Amino acid sequence: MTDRLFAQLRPGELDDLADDGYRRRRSADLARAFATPQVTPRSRRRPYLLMAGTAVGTAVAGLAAAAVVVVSGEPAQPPARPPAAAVPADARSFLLAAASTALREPAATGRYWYVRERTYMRVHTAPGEYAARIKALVDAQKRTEEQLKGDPGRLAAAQEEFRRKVTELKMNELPYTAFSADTRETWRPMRAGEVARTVSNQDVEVTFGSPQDEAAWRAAGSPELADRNQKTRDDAEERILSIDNPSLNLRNLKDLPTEADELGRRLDELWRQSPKESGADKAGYLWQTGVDLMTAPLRPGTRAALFRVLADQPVMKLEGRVSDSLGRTGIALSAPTQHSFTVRLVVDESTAELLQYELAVDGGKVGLRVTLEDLGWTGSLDDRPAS
Amino acid sequence: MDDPEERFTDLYDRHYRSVLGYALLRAERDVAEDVSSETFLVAWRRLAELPEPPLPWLLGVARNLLAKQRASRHRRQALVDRIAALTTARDQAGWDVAEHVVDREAALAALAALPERDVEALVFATWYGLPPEQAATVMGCSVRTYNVRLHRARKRLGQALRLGDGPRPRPRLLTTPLEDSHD
Repeated sequence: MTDRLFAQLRPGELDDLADDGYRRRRSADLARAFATPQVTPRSRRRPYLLMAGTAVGTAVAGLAAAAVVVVSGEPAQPPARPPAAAVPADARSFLLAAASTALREPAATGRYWYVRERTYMRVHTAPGEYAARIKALVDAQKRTEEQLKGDPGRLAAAQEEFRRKVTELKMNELPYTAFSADTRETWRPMRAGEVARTVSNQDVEVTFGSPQDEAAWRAAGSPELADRNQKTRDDAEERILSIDNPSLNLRNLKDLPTEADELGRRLDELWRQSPKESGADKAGYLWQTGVDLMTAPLRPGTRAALFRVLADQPVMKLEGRVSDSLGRTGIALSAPTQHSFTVRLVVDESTAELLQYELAVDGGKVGLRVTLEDLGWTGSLDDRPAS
Repeated sequence: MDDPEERFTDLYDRHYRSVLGYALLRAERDVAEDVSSETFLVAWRRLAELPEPPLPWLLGVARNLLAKQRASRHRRQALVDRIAALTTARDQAGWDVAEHVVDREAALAALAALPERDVEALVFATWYGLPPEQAATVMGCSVRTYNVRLHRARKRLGQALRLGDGPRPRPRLLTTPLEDSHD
């Protein structure tokens, strides 16, 4: 009778607070542990050497553990906000923790893989002006080629000259710094041959690096810097999931290994087969492929293995806890990649999901930023994931 | 499961909430969470030596860290005060539905009169369902001592509750006919 009554004195709030603490602390706690050396169990074979050392070591470890407990605020004052967890010690320990988290997430599947991403990027050309200049070049070239018919030597030279001019035009930079942002949604069908949908150029915005840049743009006649026409495209073409890995598609992702060493070998193989379109080196390839895979419907085991593969990359740096462009908090990791770019990932601590990725040039100036606003499975081309 | 990271993650996922649930009975939320995190850091360091089942060991580490905490400038908070502080209207409603012979306040008052360790013995036996050997491990005492505490706690709480049962005012109509004279 007493036990039953005592059992009912247990406040239900304990479960809620424990769940809440568990969710907030898990990622940082796992990361901190993985960054901490373990105590080697005492060896029975060499007691004479280890005895004293181990005893002292244990006592010190105990003291250190107690000393790290944060003591703050007045005892009677309840904390105004839930306490923030410590930032993981380094990229490797964070990625190992993310691997554990990924493993915990349930596997799911559906008819369409949906991604909504907002892309923010440096504008290199004013699209209208660029198109007009290309058209002028092409028209002039047609006339030239017409005149040079029957003179293969001069025709070849003219074609060479034409390619040079086009390249020059492509490399031309605007004399001011501007950025465009737009949102794109894609629904990729799981089954081959079904119609996919892309809705691009949503909520288009143009911003400038500084008021001076904006003034320079006005002085240049305020050319339109972004395509503002929202476009919906439905077709049954197979969309490439990862530019560097044309052999991957939604259906064969499930064949990727769930074990880190094996996945590492598979990625090496994919790298050798890669058309190397982006001109990336191996490190750059790994990052781009990592991003492509993180935004794809991988099995939890493969996602975990991917984090472990990345954890073994020594060039990675942990930058700390940051907010993405939607204000979501995550851990930022960065690594140098080809052409003096730095790639920067922001990963959610509690779900190990990629929130945002960026490419920055030397000084840390962002050239491209993609924020993953939503992703998941849907049952139809009009649905969005029920999250 | 021989991979230490995986083993530790599993340990954390299984037991973190139980450890934090206990720490919350001894300290405010921020300190309780810090203590739980430290407990698991100690567990990671000693992963190869963890006993089976690990929960009593984890609770024991948390209990020791909390004891150190209390020696610091944090004033010790009585278990019963924490239970009262964490009690919500939902608990009150559940209690009322169960139609206990005493009200919740009276039961808490009876608990407050018991030695702290006796209440703790009840917590491990009833809320955590730990058998005496395991509960004794957590509390760092012999099984015999633990059993004495548990027995004493049950007896005193039972007495207090029976006492509380006696002089409870009975429904007004039957006891105080005088008050009806004003109608």
